[in-house]
Amino acid sequence: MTKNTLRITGWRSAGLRCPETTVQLNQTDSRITFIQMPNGTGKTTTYNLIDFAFENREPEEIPDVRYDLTKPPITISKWISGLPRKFNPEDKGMFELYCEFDKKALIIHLDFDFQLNKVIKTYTFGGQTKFKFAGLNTKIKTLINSGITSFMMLDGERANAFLNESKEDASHAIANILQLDVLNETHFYVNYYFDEEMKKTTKKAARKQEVTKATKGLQKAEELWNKLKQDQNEIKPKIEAATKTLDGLEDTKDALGAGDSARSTQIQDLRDKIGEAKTSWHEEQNKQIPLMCEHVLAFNPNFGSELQLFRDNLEKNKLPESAGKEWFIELSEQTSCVCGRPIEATQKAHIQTYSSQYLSTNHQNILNNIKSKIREDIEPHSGNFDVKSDELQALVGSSSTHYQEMRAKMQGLEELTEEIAKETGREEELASLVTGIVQLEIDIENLELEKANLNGGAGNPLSVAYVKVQFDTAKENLKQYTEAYLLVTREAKIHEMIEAIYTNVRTTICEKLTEETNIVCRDILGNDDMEIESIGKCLILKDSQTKETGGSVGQTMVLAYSFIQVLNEQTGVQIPLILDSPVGPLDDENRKEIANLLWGLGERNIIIFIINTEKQDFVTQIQDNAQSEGKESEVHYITQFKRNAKTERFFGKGDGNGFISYETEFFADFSITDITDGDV
Amino acid sequence: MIELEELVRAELKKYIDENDDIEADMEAKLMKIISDLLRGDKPTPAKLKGLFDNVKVEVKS
Repeated sequence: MTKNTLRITGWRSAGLRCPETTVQLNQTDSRITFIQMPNGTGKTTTYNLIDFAFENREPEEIPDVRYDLTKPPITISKWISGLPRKFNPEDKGMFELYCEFDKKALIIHLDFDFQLNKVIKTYTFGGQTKFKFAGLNTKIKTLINSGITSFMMLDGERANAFLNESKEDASHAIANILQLDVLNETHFYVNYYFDEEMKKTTKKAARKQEVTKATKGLQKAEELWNKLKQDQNEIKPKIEAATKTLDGLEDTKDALGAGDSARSTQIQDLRDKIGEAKTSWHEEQNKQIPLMCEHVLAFNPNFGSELQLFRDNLEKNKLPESAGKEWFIELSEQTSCVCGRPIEATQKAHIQTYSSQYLSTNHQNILNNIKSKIREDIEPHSGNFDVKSDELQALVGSSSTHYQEMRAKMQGLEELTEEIAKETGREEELASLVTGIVQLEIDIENLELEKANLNGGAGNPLSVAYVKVQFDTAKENLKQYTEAYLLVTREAKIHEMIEAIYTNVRTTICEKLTEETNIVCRDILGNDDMEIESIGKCLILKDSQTKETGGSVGQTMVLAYSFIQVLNEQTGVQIPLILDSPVGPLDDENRKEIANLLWGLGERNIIIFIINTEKQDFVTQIQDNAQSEGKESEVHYITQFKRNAKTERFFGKGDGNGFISYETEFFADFSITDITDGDV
Repeated sequence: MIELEELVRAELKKYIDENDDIEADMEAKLMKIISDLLRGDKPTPAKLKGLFDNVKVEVKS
């Protein structure tokens, strides 16, 4: 841990509301320096300027709100606008704070422009030229920063702030004086490191899901690649097997005589012949049918004579009814009709039934009509029946001969048809074979195409080479994602580790500080009325009652000084302590206790701004302590104020508006408390 | 007297002992940075190179 030292050796101001003087503090032998300034002469302004100088940022970087601890917050520009002294013709002002950092001169310059209400902040270190404050030496930054400032510059408000959770001053003081923020700063370098590492990867996988997704993508690509490689290995045997099958089919096809045109022609001729024979037969039949129809009465050679006989019998109807009945009975007993067709029993029964009914009714006219009709139809032909019958007989005979011939022809045709059927079966088999061959050829063609695709270049999306490229890309992606994920996870783990260490270290420190602060506070107060339980954002009081009331002003100041003393002891850091009216509101006893405490802080370069009325029981107590230890020379007394009409009456006119005295006697005798209300 | 560097070192060692996924040499690496920062020296990119590589992280899909 650094043990750097910082001392304030003086300051100088011009054009501001504080006295235009150069304050020189004893550099070698200064333990406590009192600066007595009446109210209204720039005491708080000087205090605030020192405070502002110790901010380790450029004014542009400081939020445009500045706290005058006794007043509501104001903006920096508003604060600057209240800094110029009256009748300042140049609209400029300056304040220089002289310090020693590790025994080297450090000067912080504040140059004010009141027209613009701006301030330029620079520093020189070790006699070098001015630098912008933003580039403040890293070492110096360890002691000059806003956290340390709140620790260096203490007044009643800041003492109270140590107990105020919303202010977090105690927490900041610990973090800064012990450089706990270094651990937080480590996060920055961890971030930087991993940002740089992440730049080397093309993928930014912040989440494990992306790695999982990339892994699955790789698996899929690998599966596809393996499948295609397998296809590639299998396709050659497939093609060979299909080709072999094709050759076999071709052989079979040849064996079946496919392509034998002579045989095909012969089959076609046979078919044509069968067709012609069928046509000829149908034509012959068509010729016979009209002839047969023309000689309808001669179909049966007996038909005409039988019909003649039938008519004669009808003539017998002139016989009595019994004779008619007898005839019908005879008729019904015939085994066949005149046309030669057999008469069945049912028909016989019908003839008998209807003949009885007929003979019992008077239908003679009907019978006569039938007879007349038959006569008309048959008579003209009755003499030609035999001739017609002979003609018909001859025709039928001719037709029968023709039929026999046709029948013989048809038999020949049937044999041909059977032969054709055999040929047709063979043709169908052949056709099926050809179809199979065509399909196989298509299959082989497809396999060849697939083979060509599989063996194709990386530009062919169906090739093994293409998928291999995809696989390699996916592999690389996964590698990149994994690397990125590893980086992110590593980074998170390291941050987590630093965070845990910070928490544990801080807890240890706070427990130690709590214990030591309570010991010191108890020693000063002589009781345990003001003890802290722990340190969180602020000092957390122990007693529940004290928590509510917060303790008296004196108790609070004692606690704050105790805390600061412990911090000083426990860290070994030597930084100044600048106090603004530290005992103004305290009673006599508490003043003495604070005086004893401050004296007990040792060589701390304590600068105490006071007004006249704070000398009693405070300055005097420190003087007594110094005297009792023979260290009067370590206490210094400065009186400073602005010259104006009121002070001129007592101290006369001088150069500039500032007055300063380093005389102990002058300090002791000085009795002006406030120049604004004429209390001189 | 409180020595931050020693406190940090002790806590870092304890943390590494309790966490198998942080390798032992992380203590030296991180302390180097912290020591530099405590002295007011910023770690340069060259000094950061290779740091923090040895945090074990298990990647399972």
